[in-house]
Amino acid sequence: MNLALRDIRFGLPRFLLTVAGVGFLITASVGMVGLYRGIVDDALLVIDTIGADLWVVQGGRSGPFAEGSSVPSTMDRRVEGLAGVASVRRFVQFSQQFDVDGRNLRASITGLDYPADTGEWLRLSDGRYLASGHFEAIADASIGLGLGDVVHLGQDDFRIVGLTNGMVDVQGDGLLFVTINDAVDIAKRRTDEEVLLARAKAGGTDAAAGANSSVPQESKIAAVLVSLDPAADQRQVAAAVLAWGDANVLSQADQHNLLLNQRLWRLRVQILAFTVVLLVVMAIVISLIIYTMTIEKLHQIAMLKLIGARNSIIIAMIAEQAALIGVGGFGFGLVVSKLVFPHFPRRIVMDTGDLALLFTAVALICGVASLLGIVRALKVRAQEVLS
Amino acid sequence: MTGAILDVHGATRHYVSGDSIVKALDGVSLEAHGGELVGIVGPSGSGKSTFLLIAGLLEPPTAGDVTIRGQKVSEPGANLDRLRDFRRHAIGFVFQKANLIPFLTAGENVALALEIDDVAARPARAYATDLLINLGLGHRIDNPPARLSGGEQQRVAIARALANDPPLILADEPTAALDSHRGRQVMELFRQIADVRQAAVVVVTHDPRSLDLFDRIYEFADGRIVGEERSADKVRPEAVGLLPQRP
Ligand SMILES: Nc1ncnc2c1ncn2[C@@H]1O[C@H](COP(=O)(O)OP(=O)(O)OP(=O)(O)O)[C@@H](O)[C@H]1O
Ligand SMILES: [Mg+2]
Repeated sequence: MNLALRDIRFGLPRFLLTVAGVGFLITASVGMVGLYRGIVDDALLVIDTIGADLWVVQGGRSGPFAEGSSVPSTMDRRVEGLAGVASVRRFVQFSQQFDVDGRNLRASITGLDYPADTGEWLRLSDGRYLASGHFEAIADASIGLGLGDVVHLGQDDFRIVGLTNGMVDVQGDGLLFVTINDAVDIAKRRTDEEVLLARAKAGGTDAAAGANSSVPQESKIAAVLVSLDPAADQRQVAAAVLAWGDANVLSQADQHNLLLNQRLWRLRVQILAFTVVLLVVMAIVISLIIYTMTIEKLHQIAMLKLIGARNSIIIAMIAEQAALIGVGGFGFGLVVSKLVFPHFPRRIVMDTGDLALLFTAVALICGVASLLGIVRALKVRAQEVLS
Repeated sequence: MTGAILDVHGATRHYVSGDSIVKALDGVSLEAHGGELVGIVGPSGSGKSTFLLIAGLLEPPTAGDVTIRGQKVSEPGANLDRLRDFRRHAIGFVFQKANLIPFLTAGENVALALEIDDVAARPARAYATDLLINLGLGHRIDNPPARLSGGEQQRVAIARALANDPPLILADEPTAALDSHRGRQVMELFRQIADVRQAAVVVVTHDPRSLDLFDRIYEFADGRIVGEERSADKVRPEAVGLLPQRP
């Protein structure tokens, strides 16, 4: 007769509540770790998928993600002329809010250097790549636009011709891809009121700075993306750009480093610290649950000893219940995670390695807690039944 | 007469409390033979429970020894946890409180004692059912202890103590929590167990109304035996064929 199961059957609602409680703790832990992974993944998404070896940005700046950057829109010609450069693309990205059917939406407008770049490095979930130099857009599903929708941006209407999934910027805003010329126009053309507001904010010192553009000056772009010849020496190309004096150059690794260790540093540490707190809470709560469960049964355990039960029976009862709570809680937590997290506004990455680690941690916690309970249970003397 | 089932010799038990020593038991010698129902009476604090703990191998004596079926099993300093296997076969316990496992049904509580002794689940269950039916608890087999009355719980506890067919049964005030009618029923059950199973049954009791059932009654005071009474005209209730053979 399996005592662990009989006990659970006897107090089924309580057991289920316990498992649910442990499960929700695990859900929270999965969410915390996944939020961290999601933020890092989202941040690096464009840098990793756009496929540039070097980013040529404004001199003295580490743009365009960690800091602002604006370079003349003709910078690409200069870069293209350098030895070792296979191809160049212009890049611009800025946040924009707009109304569609009365809904206030937000997107990160990203310029594609059409016709060289029609967006083929994107993975479309629906529709097609850009096929015209103007007024077409590829939107990420998270923005809330559908295929064929028309959006008014700047002074023009854009038709959504393609959809992507999970393409977002550092802040989690969905990307809206248009040709770079359109993007520059959208950035430039603002309402009179916007211009006034921007001036007021800048304290009136904006006359020269081109206050009527959200990319700091007219006809400026954020960066030039460089693909190198296979044989080219990255350092030589970088040195050549730096020699101009008006531009800085960053590698893909530099961009990673800037985003993770500069721009997102505080957020990352914050989330990690929170995750640690949560894991500690989880460890304490789970071990307390399992330990108390054993302590509550000390009288019965003494009785078992009195009628001559071997230690193995007592150990099995405690260990099996701990295992059931651990495995049940983890399973429940995982199911809830899978059901709930896809509806969260930001990406929660459930990495198999992380889950395996979490499971190991939970198993360890249950193991240690039940071991403590077992040690206590084996110390109980049979005659304690009488007290 | 064959050798005694329980032979306690010169059992002494001292408890140190603060700087004084309490002599809970002070050189008690007592035998119980198969088929005998032995009573222990005496005022509170006279050492009755202490005697049962020592006879039941739950506490070692400070001096003296305990022999069960000719085997010396306990003496000062004995490691009693090692005697758990021995206890399982040799001794059945019944206390004032039934101490049933709350999450098991009445039937499971009894069957557990058998399963602990390596009887397979099915025959254990069948025997537990038989036993409970014979104790008039056939309708309670699938109920948890909380649904049973005090007397019913106590009878389940007795069934559990009997399950492994131990030669020695020790009971500490088993009827104290019961009304006089049910108390009498339980005591008669012990009488039958002694008669039918030829077990030695030692019962500590405060209840003077059932003393007619006992073969011998020892009176304890201050940790010693101060009186022994043999009742020649003990009442033998009809054995109801209550005790099926253990698998
Ligand atoms: N663990 C212990 N530590 C100290 N003293 C104890 C302990 N157990 C029993 N005693 C003392 O030993 C004496 C005998 O106790 P015991 O429980 O055997 O009495 P009893 O005859 O069973 O009494 P009652 O009828 O009240 O159950 C008492 O004075 C008691 O206080
Ligand atoms: Mg007592």
